[in-house]
Amino acid sequence: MHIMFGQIILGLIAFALAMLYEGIDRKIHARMQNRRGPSIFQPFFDFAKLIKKEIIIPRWSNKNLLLLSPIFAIAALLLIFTIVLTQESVNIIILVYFLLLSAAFTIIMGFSVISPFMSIGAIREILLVVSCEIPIILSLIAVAVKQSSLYIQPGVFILALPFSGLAFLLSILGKSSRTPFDIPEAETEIVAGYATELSGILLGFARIFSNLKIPVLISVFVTFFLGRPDSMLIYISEIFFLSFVVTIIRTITARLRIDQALKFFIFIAIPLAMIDVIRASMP
Amino acid sequence: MTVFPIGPQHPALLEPFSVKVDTEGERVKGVEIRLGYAHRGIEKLFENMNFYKTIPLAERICGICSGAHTICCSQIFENCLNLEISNRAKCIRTIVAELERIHSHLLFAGELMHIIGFKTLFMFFWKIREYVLDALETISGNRINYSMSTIGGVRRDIDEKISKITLNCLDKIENKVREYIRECEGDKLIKLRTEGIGLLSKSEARKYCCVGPVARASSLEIDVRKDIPYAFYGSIDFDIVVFDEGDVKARLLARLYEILESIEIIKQAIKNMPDGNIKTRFPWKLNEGEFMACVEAPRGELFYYLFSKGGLKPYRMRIRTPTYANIASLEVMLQDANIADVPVIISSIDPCISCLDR
Repeated sequence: MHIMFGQIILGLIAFALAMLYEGIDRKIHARMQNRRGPSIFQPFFDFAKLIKKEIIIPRWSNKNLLLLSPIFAIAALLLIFTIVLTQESVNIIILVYFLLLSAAFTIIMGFSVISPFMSIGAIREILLVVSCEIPIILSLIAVAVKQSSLYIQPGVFILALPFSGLAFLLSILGKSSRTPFDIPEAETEIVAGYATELSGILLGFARIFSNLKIPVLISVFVTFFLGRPDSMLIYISEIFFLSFVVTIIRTITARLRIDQALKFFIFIAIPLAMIDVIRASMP
Repeated sequence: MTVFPIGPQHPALLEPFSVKVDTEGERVKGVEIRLGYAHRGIEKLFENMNFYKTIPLAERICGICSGAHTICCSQIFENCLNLEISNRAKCIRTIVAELERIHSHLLFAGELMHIIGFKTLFMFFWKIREYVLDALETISGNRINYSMSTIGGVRRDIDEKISKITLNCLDKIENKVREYIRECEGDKLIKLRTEGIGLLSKSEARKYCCVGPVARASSLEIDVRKDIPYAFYGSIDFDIVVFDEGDVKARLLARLYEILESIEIIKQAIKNMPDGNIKTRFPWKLNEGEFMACVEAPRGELFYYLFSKGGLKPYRMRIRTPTYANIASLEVMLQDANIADVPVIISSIDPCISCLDR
């Protein structure tokens, strides 16, 4: 019961972290572009407003899938966050399973309504997930091989496995759909991709989901490549500040096309991760 | 075969028009362009007005090329009335037209960057566009609809003080534009998204009667400013920017280099500004006959046709805008393109729908 309570607190922290992250991310993004930008609490106001709004269900849609998929997608991410932050050792199969599950629910969200924008967004998400999930899995495998156990423990592995760490960081950009890999939700091509037809609280959840992805993935990176500090406060602030690497990268790049993004992951990120798997498995 | 609708309302389009794209997977197999969402019946309105009241109407055809429309409309009535305007008025018209070209091209460059997802360069382009709009405000008192050109000349003079402010603004943006050209030529991601996309060969550009930067990016050397010099262009030394590649990148760079040429033109015009009246009086009665006038608007050749039966009202006015000439070539450019490139290609011709639909 005690553990449950702690994990609920962590879940709420993650929610607040995601919204605060979005606020500061937008502020930094704006300041780098010579703009003032919105208040850093704008995402909180937006979410409060979206709660009050009506949910509009399109006629040609699967209502249950549309209503439940954003919630399940967030649940999968929160599980990763709590597991990674609190557990002594983490089974990488469970970790990979929940990472894929969150992506699977966004894809279900995209296909739950018959709309060209949403289904193209979902198709692009599938392609992107398939290509950028492999480097993430490979770099976690490298950590597992280094520890010769499927139950991986937190530790400083960035020096021993630098290429894996780099591949993981690159894949975070793809997994969280930020420029240059914001292809599944490319505004000027497919409106909002898999979130086009969402409204009300569902849209609020979808936005939290897309902003939660970065702190959650960075927390996995921090735990298994930079080690877990004793103080929870230092730990969370480390995750928080590292997340802004993504902001800087998204400010200075243009969007890639889906085929170019796939090429990038297959020919650069996967070989990088592979090098360390081979290095770690050699005696 | 899936139909993928872009427009009439879409984040990639600034104005309403619709491109229905037939796709096989991610490849475009067929294109259907539909127009007319912004039709306001302006050509008909011309027929019900006294001719000296049509200038404000022509100005409101389009927000971006309002200067080009007023200059062309003034020129056609000057042709009709056999009116010779002073060189000083011609020179001021040239300055306004070129400032307008700079701000239109910067707007285009920013918009293209927005569409390929490069928000930062988009903001930078639009920031220096503000300086140009400030200069236009100093000259004319307005940012968008300048109301500068009128039948018989211009409405406001450019004195020593204003020309100094304009030159200051040009110095400010020139370095920035050179820096951004370097960025657009060198940046790997911009190259990946724009190079070799939306190809339009020279023969096809000729076949589809393309005009302006779209034609010049496909190595077709046409420019009204050089071919039929109007206003002050005859006595100014400048080059036409021509690119051979015919892709989106060439269209972007053609416009960016044209900004530098425009800056050069304005500097020369301010330096060699002749003395004289800015406005000539004209008789309030049209001559009979058919008349034509064309100017180089930011997007290409803008053509006015007037059929007059005398009196005060034009019997028929016909306006052929540059986007009307360019938009058909989208059919060739979009063929076999990737669906992610469709908005990029559409915006690369810089469509101005309020001009086109009138």
